[in-house]
Amino acid sequence: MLLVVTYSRAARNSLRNVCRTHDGSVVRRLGRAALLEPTEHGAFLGLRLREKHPDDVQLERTAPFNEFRDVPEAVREAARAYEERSNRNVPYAKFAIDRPHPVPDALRAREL
Amino acid sequence: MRLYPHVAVVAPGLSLSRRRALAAAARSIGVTTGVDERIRATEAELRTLAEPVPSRADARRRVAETAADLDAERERVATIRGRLQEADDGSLRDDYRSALGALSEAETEHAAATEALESARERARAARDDRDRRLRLQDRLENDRRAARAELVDAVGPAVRRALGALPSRTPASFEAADAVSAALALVRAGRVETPVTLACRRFEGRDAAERWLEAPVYRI
Repeated sequence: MLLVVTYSRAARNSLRNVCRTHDGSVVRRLGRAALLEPTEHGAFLGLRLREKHPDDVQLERTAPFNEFRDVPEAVREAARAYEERSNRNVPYAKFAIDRPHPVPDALRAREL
Repeated sequence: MRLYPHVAVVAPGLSLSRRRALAAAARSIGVTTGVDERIRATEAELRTLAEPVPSRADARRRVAETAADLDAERERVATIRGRLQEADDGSLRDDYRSALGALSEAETEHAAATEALESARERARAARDDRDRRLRLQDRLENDRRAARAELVDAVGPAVRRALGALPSRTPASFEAADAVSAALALVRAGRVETPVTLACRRFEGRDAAERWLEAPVYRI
């Protein structure tokens, strides 16, 4: 999908108008951002917004997230184990020590 | 935020932005609000200009072009390799060597273009952080101004209602229900206007009577 993020009141208003008028090409509206359909029409709408507000419109293309393809098992396991922890007050950094889970710094250092 | 522009000409058909005019009337008699300080600070902060976001269009185009070149060179290398496997001859081998050279050049160029785009994106991100902050400030300013207006309207309300009640020959039920001329006259009386107001309505005997009631200087048509 195409992600449009706006950075000014004028750009945000334009996005709002586009979303209202072209409902069919909008997957989701998120306040000052929106996800557009990955079609030429979606791209057309995004490009028009950027033409109108060059500095205040960011366009990105999103990719589907598949944790079984994109994320090592250790990370998935860590997320599940932490959310199932019995002591709700223990921060993750502390939780990971003494357990076979990666520490936050290691997670931050590795790109997907 | 001055009252005068709202009531400069009081004539039938006057279009009055009532809440704003009420707030302006309150300001004219020196009413302040709890958010004034913050409004001033936010306005000052927003007065500095936002950094432009560096354009990445050229960098993106370069990445797309070098990627296409790279594909073409890869294909060429593969084709020549295929032919070499069928028949090994000297001129083909020269072609292959030069194709390999071109491929490695295309790889270098594509890598450089990708890197340039990446660094342009990082610079754009920094400029956007700034814009992001400005947008938040603008929204905050808008909310604060609304809050200030509400305070001002409340503060001046009683005086405006009293003025409406004292209007010659009319008694509107409320400020909102009053006709625009009555509302404007009440605002002038409750607020303070120093520039003469132009009256084109038959509510007063004469200019003196109008000035006495309005407690403001008046031109009369």
